[in-house]
Amino acid sequence: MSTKSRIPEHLARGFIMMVEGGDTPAARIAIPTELTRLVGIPIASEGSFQIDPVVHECIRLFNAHYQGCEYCMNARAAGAVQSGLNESMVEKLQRFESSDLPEHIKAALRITNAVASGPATLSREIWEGARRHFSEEEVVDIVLLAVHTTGSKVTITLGLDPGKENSSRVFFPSEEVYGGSPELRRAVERMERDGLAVRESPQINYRVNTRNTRAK
Amino acid sequence: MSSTCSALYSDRERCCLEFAEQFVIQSSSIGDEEVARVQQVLEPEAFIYFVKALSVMDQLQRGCSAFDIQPSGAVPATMERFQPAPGPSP
Repeated sequence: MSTKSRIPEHLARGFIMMVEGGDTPAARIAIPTELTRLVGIPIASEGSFQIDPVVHECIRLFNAHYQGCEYCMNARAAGAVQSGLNESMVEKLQRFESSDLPEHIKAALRITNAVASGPATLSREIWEGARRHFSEEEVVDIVLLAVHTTGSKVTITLGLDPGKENSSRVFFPSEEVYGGSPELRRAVERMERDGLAVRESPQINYRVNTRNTRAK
Repeated sequence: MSSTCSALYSDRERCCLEFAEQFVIQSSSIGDEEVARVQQVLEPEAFIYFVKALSVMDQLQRGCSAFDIQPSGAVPATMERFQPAPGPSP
């Protein structure tokens, strides 16, 4: 893996995760903000994944580490940290089977691991194990999120990982980088009505245990 | 797939297929040397689109395999402007 660009600078310009715009080849293949939003913000807006925010973030972070995306593995979503995600849980994700993580998170990570390592290994047993904790629709969304988060392979392969210097913090859903679609706005308003912080706040005092890709 | 020795593939195609295999198995293990090798047969811009195409197919196949479904043989109705790529020159 590489955090050093493997393509010429003039072609890479505009390829920054969660930022749209630009007409260079790399900018044209960047994951659009609206799609990134589905993965980056674990809130159930219309048309996005309908998964519990902590489960959502565990899936995203597991895959971030599996794919070796330093930027992704050091970002934390505000919705998740306010719903119970903590760094102790994050530390256990890569060894989830032998950990004391809750059983429903383990069930979701078995799917995520199968999708990342060899989707044919997603057995009926794994699926039905997840169904003991999640609805059929939620299990489908877990698979889709697991698939979607493998998209960082492009970033890693091209050497365009923005690195931990550009993340290593909590990301709030009202941030410009997530775009401004009406359904996102409605979801953020709902989140705020539920008493969650949607923008940086001194009440959210969360420290990320920074990791780098060589720690794999 | 025996693309590494089959005479049906050109050196350029073999190089890209080897890269594709590595991308599917574990892209984070692709080193600068492997990238340099494929960049000898693909221009920098083509390399960008090649990697994106690998990701699209990789994700499609992972989804199909996980759900145990076959992709449709037809172009989806939502892709009205889809044009098949021209075939190889005779």
